[in-house]
Amino acid sequence: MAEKKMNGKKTLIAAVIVVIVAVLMFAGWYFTRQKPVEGQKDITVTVVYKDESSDKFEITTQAEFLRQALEEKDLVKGDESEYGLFITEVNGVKADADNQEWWCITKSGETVNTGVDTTPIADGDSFEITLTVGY
Amino acid sequence: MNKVKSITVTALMAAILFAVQIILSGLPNIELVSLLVILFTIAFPKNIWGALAVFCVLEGVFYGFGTWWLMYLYVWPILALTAYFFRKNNSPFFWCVVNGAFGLMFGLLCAFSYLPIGGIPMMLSWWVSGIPFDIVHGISNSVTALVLFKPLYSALEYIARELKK
Repeated sequence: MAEKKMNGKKTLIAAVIVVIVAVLMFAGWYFTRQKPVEGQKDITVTVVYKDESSDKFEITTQAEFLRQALEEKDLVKGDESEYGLFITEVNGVKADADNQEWWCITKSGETVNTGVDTTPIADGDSFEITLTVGY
Repeated sequence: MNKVKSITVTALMAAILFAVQIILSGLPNIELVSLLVILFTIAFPKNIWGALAVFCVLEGVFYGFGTWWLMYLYVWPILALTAYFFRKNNSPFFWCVVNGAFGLMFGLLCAFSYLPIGGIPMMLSWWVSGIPFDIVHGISNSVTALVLFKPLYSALEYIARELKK
């Protein structure tokens, strides 16, 4: 009985620690996240196809996140997922999922760790959307 | 448990893990694989490793063997090892905390697979950008364990007992 009570107490302490860790993690994310910028901005989007040919699009937009900017130009289509829009088609070119093709977004060559819905844009940003084969 | 029964249990566990993962894949960060790995480890500690191996291969065959797949090779065994270590504990509240903590730390554990690709900066930025999803994962894991641990534990204990006869 006493041991059970002791175990319950330990579990409760562990639960409190988990909650504290969750709060700290949220704070870490909140204060380091990229914030959207208001106002007009000019961005460049380069679409790179499987044969390595590419198209460059200059977009002037008031959008704060990449998705809206791309949709204003009707550049992307996709499926709604838990992480926002999962891009399946760019500039009329579909990624063949059966062939493990997907659209990889990079910003000035650097990997973007956010989805299009939550990728903020700033004036002068340059994005690349590349048809990539293999997960 | 004889060999035939043991192989059947291992195969069934792998099939259930895979089916449950596919069925719930449309729900945002709500999954039952973690809870099932805990429960299977408690009920069938000798079979869980084979079941996890088959499950990982099935995931790779279904979704493709990409970088993400490497994390499956250590994430689930870590949870199974934790469950194995505490397998005598059958308190739903205890497993609610463990499952919740696992959900919360899932992103961090997975981020390690990006260490060889982009070093610590890439690993950290990948982890931090996914923290909101980890928090949802932690909460949903806690809830599923709190609600489902007891009934599933009872059912699996019964099955394990019957199979030993």
